[in-house]
Amino acid sequence: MKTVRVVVVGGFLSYRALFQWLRPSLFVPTMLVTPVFQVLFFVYVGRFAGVADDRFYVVGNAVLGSAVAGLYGPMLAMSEERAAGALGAVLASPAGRIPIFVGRMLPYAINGLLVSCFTLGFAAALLGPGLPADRLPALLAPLVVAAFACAGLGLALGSLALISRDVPFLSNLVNAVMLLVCGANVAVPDLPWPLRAAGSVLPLTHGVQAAQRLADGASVGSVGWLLCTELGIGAGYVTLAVLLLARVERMARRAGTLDLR
Amino acid sequence: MSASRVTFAAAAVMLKMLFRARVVVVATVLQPVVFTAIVSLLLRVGSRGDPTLGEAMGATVMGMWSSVLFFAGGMLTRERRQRTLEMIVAAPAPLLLIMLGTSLATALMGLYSLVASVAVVTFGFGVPLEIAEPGAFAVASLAAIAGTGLFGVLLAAFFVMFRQAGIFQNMLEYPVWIASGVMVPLALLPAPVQVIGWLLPPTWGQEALRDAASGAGGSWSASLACAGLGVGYFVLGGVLLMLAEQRARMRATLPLS
Repeated sequence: MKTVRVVVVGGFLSYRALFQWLRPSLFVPTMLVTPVFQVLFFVYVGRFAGVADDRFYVVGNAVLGSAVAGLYGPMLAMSEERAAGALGAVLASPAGRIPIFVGRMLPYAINGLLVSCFTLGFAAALLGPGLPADRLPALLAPLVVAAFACAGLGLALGSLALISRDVPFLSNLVNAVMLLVCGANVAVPDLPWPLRAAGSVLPLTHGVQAAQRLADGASVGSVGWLLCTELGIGAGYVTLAVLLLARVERMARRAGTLDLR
Repeated sequence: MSASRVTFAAAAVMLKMLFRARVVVVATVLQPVVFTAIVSLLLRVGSRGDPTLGEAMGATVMGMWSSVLFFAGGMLTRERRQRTLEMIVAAPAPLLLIMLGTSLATALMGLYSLVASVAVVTFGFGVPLEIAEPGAFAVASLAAIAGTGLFGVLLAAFFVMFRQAGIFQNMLEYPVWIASGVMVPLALLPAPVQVIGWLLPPTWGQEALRDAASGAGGSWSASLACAGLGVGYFVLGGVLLMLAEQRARMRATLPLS
């Protein structure tokens, strides 16, 4: 019960604090409007190139919609906590490290999921991509798994942000690379092999493929391995984040710089 | 201090800052590279035909627009936050000329995008690097930089005059990319979007670059339209800025807060 409280309450407070530091008025244009315009941009590019129908881009970019919240949220939350001098107090508390930092990740996974759902619903209504209504509940599974995996990578980047100043740049780099390699805009088989290889170890790639197959009428069971792979990739990044955090904390305690500034 | 010297000095200071900011690389190199690669890959597998230098020209204007939107558009807001706006406004050099230099410097960063996106289509997709009309291409590059940069003055004035408009800054990247036809011809877009596109300097900038690269003709007139629209927006930005400055002086709120 105590662990759940640390995860839920700690995560909520951290999320609330981030939007106190950042301007809440940035939320709507950044999180809700930009992903919809991104869908429109790629739908028109797809129509121009004559590659795939609108549904391909709507579904793919809806999954991709969780990237901004998932990648930048945990990283910014942890960096801002350190900048405000609150991280030292958090690390001095007796609460377990894993619940603390998983709590930092979950609000952004939920945020990313909501952005994905909004993008899918709004873009589908706007463009009418012929997405049958009975497919929508099935699409929730890849959206949930992809949002979790993306937030896992965001948490790993957040851990790196405690020891490196270049992480915001790295987050931008990863975000741009994901746009290219995750299969939302260029189908994975059409990518050159180095890009396919990069996509296979990044979040969203398997989630996008699962969502596109489900939208085409496949059953949830037939994309189970894609969902499991996506989940595994997310879990891998969470594990990496926890290991990195443990190392950073040890280094900070040894050097007597618990606030990690 | 002469007008050209003020403009040049402001541009030089801004360029020094931009050269040291890593986020510039994201907007002017990384994004154009990724978008050029995506569109080129789609064209290669699609029914439209192989990629050309035109895709690189579209990506160049994309990078130019991102740079102007984020670094010129937010210029006065940034100065206000750093509490240096009072000093800039109080200086004898006209604020409009300082903004002109700063905004042109941000548009100049589009040259990064040009090199990066041309490298992608040339080395990644085997497109021959042949500019059909080199003279027109040089003029088109200058017109695109000038037109988009001058448009940045209006943006900066607008964002500082109407503070709430600043929240729209983050979401203006894709809409202008769509409406200016950087990757998709305007003819394929809905009619109202085409009309908006005709009013945007980036539309004419990318058209001038594409036409000069392919030798399709029409580059000179597109360059003229791009620069002409830019001058119009610069005048509008100057009027807005004058009103904002007057209002701030009357209310004794020089930080324009």
